[in-house]
Amino acid sequence: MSAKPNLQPTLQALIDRDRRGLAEHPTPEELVDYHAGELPAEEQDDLRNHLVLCHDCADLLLDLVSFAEFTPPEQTPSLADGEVKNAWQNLQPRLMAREEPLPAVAQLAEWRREGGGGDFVPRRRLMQAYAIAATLLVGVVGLGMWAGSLQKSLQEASKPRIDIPVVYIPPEGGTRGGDDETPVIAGTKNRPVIALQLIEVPEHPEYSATLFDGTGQAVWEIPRLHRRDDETLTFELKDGLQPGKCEIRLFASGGKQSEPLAKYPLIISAEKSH
Amino acid sequence: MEPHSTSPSSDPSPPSGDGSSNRWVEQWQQGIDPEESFRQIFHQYYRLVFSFFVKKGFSAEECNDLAQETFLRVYKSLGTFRRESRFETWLFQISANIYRNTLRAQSTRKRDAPEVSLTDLTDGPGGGGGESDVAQDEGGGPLEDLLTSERSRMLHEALQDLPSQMRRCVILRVDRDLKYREIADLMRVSIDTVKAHLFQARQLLKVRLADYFADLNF
Repeated sequence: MSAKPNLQPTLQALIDRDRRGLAEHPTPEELVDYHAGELPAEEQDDLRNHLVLCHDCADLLLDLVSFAEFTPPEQTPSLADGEVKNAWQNLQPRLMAREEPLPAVAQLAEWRREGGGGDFVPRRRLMQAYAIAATLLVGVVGLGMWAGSLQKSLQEASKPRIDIPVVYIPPEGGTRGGDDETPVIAGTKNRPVIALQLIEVPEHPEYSATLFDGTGQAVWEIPRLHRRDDETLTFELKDGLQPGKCEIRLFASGGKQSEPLAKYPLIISAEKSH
Repeated sequence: MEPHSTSPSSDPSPPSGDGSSNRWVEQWQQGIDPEESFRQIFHQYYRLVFSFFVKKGFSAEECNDLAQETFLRVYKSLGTFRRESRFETWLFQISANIYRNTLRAQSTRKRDAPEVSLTDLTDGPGGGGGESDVAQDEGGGPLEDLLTSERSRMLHEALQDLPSQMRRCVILRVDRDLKYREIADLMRVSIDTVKAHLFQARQLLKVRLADYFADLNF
């Protein structure tokens, strides 16, 4: 008989075999619930068994502990203050770009109201073109008064519009760390702009959405939606929708026979709340 | 800590250490100097988020991109964060979701090249599970294969006879060489419980497996 082997390789081989039958990985939200002791006993037991077999999920849970205790892992490199500062300086313009979703969606809404003919061109791009044209006119023709009035109108036009409400809606189960309350839309008379957040939604060239009422009946279809830079799909809610609980289901364009990519529950209230 | 008197880079600790939400988050949500509040949040947590992605094996450049994406999401969703849980926990969820989405995107890009795990490669053709799986790599002829298979069966049976929580502790200790503290965190038990489980498991397994394995002092 040969020398006795160590336990570890044999155990590892046994576990590798079990790993092949691993069920779906728990979501980060489920890991958080488990860590907080908020999972039912049976699910907790299943998750424990998963953690024993799945290194990635076990590591994620240990990361969660690090976050919760605010102790960055020891083996990771420390960043110099200057690097953090640089990162902040890089982030700032992107924050600013996202800080003004209203003008963009307001433009979209306006374009739709005007009939939506042709391709939608963001107003900012139009503004740049106008500004160049105005500058040329001022230089060549010298019509100071006219240019002044044009510039004034440009300034007015480029101000963010705040009269159209925008409602950001996370997908069902998408950001439980953020908010798991069903979004409420205060009526449809003012035609609010809906921004569906694409958290964990796979990328597709084009999406379509269908609004289902409380009885599960499809009442409105929204075709040709495109992913925006801020990871949302935006469209203007049409007027005349019945108040009550409803749900928007998101599909990849042409894929309506299959399961929706995400569901967005919402409530349309009868009257505006403020 | 006063909101405007502290250099963010010189004080990376959270402003409240009592498990309640971050003070800067509260200020941001209340609309009190939001730009400065968010800058403070960023400076407090950027290292934590960056380290998270480093640990996942991304390059420094990728870590920077992923950390930036995380803070963009934080910025976008901070208004919906209800301070019922710790901000750090919420931040983890966003970071972890971005990590998972990135993996998913990478795997989508590689979809045409089927993923084959190292375990599958070592199985060889016809490796369809069963006890013989664990005897593949020994390469010592039929007798050695038989012994390996027997050891594997004995170990499997001995583990199955352990109480489930004790068995999990043993596997985490032996397979992953985790510290008591890490096992305790994963299993949501105390360190003393882990120690007790492992002590008992050693005694039980030594009785049954001492003739088969050399090192049972995990």
